[in-house]
Amino acid sequence: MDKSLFVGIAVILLAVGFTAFLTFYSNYIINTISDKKLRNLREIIKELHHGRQNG
Amino acid sequence: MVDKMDDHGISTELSRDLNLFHLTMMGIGMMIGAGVFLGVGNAVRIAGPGGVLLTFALNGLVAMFTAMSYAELSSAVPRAGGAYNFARIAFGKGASFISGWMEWFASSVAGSLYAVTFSIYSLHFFDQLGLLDWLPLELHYAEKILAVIIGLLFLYVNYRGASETGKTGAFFTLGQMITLGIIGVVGLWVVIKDPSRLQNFQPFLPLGGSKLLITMGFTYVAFEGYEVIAQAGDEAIDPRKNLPKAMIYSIFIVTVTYLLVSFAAIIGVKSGSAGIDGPVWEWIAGFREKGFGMAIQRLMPFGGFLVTLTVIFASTSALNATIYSATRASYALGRDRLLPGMFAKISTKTKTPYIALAGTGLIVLSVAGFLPTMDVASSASMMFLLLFFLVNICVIKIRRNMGDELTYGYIMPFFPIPPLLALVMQSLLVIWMHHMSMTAWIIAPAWIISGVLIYHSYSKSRAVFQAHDIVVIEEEKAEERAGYKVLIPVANPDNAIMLVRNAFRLLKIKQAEVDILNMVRVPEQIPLSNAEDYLWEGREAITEAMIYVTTFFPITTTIRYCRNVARGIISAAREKRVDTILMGWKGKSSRTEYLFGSTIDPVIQRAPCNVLVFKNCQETTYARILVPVSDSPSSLLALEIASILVDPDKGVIVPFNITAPGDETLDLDEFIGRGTGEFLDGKNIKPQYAVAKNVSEVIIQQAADYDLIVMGASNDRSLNNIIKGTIPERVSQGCDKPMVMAKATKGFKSLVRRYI
Repeated sequence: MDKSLFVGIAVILLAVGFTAFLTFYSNYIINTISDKKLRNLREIIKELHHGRQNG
Repeated sequence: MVDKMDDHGISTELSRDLNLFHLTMMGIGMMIGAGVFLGVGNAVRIAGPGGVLLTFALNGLVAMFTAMSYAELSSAVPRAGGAYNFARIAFGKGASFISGWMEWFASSVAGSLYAVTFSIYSLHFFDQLGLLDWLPLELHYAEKILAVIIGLLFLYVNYRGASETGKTGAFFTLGQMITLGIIGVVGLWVVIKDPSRLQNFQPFLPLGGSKLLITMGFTYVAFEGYEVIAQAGDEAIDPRKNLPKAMIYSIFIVTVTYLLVSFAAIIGVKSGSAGIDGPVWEWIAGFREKGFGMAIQRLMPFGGFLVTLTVIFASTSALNATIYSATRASYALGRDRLLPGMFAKISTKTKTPYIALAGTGLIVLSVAGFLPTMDVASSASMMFLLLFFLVNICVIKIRRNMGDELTYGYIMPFFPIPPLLALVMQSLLVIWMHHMSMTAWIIAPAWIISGVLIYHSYSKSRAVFQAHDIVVIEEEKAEERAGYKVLIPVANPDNAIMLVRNAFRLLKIKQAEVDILNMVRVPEQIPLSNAEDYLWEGREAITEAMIYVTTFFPITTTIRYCRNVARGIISAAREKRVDTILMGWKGKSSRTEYLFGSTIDPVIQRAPCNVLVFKNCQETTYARILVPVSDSPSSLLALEIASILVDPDKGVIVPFNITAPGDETLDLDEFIGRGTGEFLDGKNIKPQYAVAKNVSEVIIQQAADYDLIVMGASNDRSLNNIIKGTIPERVSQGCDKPMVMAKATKGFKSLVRRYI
C-alpha cells in the first residue's frame, strides 16, 4: 500500500464530503429564505445566524 | 415578463414553464456531454488510476464554488442572459457586451462539438456492425452530414419553445443518467464480488500528483452547466428558488456520477485477463479517448453498446442545452440593442427568440460542417473559463456594492472565500490551456477583439438599458481650486438647514469648498423622462442650504437622478474627489436590518473618503465633549472634529478610553500626539480611563454629563457587527445626546476606492 493511496482517498472523501455539505447547506439557505420570505441581504444574514444559534 | 420592443412593435413574453426538475436536467445535460467519455481515458493516461478520481472530486469542488456564485447572482437577477446580466450590473455595458458575446460563441461552438461527437460515435457503432457498407461516401463526410442533420433537428426542438426544450432535454438527460447509473452500480457490484480488482488502483498516482492540474484543466469543461440554467431565468417557475437549487444539485449529481463511472472503468478490467499483460491503468491509457468504452466493455456484457447509447444520449442532451444557452445569450444582446433589435424578436406562436436561434444555428452548423471542431471547441472552453472568472469577480463586487439593493433567493455561505478560491483555480486552468491548444489562444482573443470592435463601432451608442445609471440633471459649479472638499447630501429643506449649521465651523476652519448634492431617487418603474417630477424638493433644499453658506464658501450645487441614493452619493464623492461627506441622522432607523438606515449604512461602509454623521446637533459649538477613543484612525478623526466643535473659550474635550478587564490600556497622551496635535493645541484636554466589560453601556452612562459625544465609527463589516452593531453604533442608538459619528478612510484601500 503506497502512501499516495491513503492521502488520495482522504482527499477524495474530503472533497466529496465538502461538496455534499455545500449542497445541503445551500439547500437549507434557499429553503429558509423562501419559507420566511426574506429578501434583504441583511435580513438573510441575521436570520441565518439566528438559526444557527437556535440550532 | 414583458419585453417591450419599441421599434418593432412587439410586446410578448417568454413562457414560464421550466420547473426544478427541468432546470436541473438542463444543467446536467450540458455537463455530461462528450467530455467525460473522452476524458476518462486521457485522465488515466496522464494522472493514473487514482488521478482520474481525484480529478473529478477536486473539479467538482471547484465547480461548486463557481456554481454558488452563479446561484447567488441568478437568484438576485433571474433574467435571461446569465453572465451577461451579472457583468452589466457589476461593470456596465462594455463588460456586459463582451461577456454575452463570448457566451454566445462558446455555447454555439460547444453545441457543434456535441453534434459532431454524436455523429462520430453513432456512425462508428453502426460501422462496427457492418451496417454502413452501402454508404457511397467516406465515413468522414457522412459524419459531417449527420452532424448538420442532428444540429438542425435540435434547432427545431429549441424553436418549438422553452417547455419542449426543457422537457426534451430532460428526457435525453434522464436516459443518460440511467445508463451511467447502471454502469456505476455494476462497477460497485463487481468490486464487492471481486475485491481483488481494487488492486487496479495501485499505484494510485504512478506519475505523481503534479499531473492533476493538467487533468483538471482537461476535464473542467465537463462542469459548465450552470450557465445554461442561468440563461433560463425568464422561463423558470419560481426562479429565485429553482435556479440556485438546480445549479447546486446538478453539480453535486454530476460529480458523484463522474466518480462512479470512473471507478467502474478502472475496476472493470480484471488484471491478468486476456490481453492484459501489464498494469490495468496502462492498458486503459493505451486507448486514450476510447479507454472508457474499452474498459466498460470488459466490465459488463453489452458494455460497448451501453456506452455508445450513453454517448448518444449525452451528446444530444448537451447539444440541446448549448443551443438553448447560446440563443438566450444572443437574445439578451438583442433585447438591450447591443446587437440589432431583431435578435430579441420573439415568435408569437412558439414564444421563442427565433432570430437569435437562427444566428446560433448558423454558427453551430457552420462549425459542425466545415471547421476543425476540436481546436475551436478548445477556444470555447477557454472562453467558458474566462466567463466563470468574470462571474466570480461579479459576485464579490455586486454583494459588496449592491447587496442592499437586490432581492436574494440565495446567498452563498463563507463569502467571499469560495469565489476567491475559484478565481485562483480558473487562472491556473486558463494558463494551462496554452499547453492544450495554441489555436485556442489565437481564436479566443480574435473573437474577443472582434467583439470589442463591434461594441465600439455599433453597440455603445445604441444600448438601451439605463436602469442602474446615475445621471447628472443640474449642476452649477464653483470655480475649481485645490483644497479641502466637503460633500453635503441634502434630502429636504429642513435637513439642509440643520446640516449646514452643523458643518459651519468645520467648513470655516478647513476653508472648505462645499458641494451641496441632492440625489433624486426615481423608482425603477418610473422612466427617466419623468424624473423632472421629483426635482422640486431637491431644488428647494439646495436653495435653503445656499442661504447659509453662499457668502462664506465657494459652492457647487448638483442635482442627480439615481435609482439608489447611497450609491449615488458614493459615486459623487468618488467622482468629485471629496475629502469628507457630511450627513444627518434623525436618530433611529425604520428598518431593523440597518443600523442607521439604508442610505447612511452603505455610505459609511463604502465611501472613498471621511464620513461625518450628525445626530440631534443643534449648536455650532459645545462646552463639554466626550470622545470615546480606541486605537483607530476614526478615533483620531473624532478628536479632530471635537477640537473644531468645542467652545474655544470654555470648552473641554474628554478623550475616554475603556478597556476590557485584562486588556492593555491605550496611552491617550501618545495616541493624541500621533496626528491631532495641531488641532488640540490650546484646547482643554482631560483624558480619562476606565475598565469595563460592557463598553457601550459605560459610554452611555458617562454621556449624561456631556453636551456632545464624538465617536469614531467602525470599519469592521464582520457578520457579528452586521447582527449586533459595533460599539459606536450601539451607543448612538442608546444615547439621546447630540452626537457625531466619524469614519476615517485611510491607507491603500482608501486610495483604491477613491480612484477606481
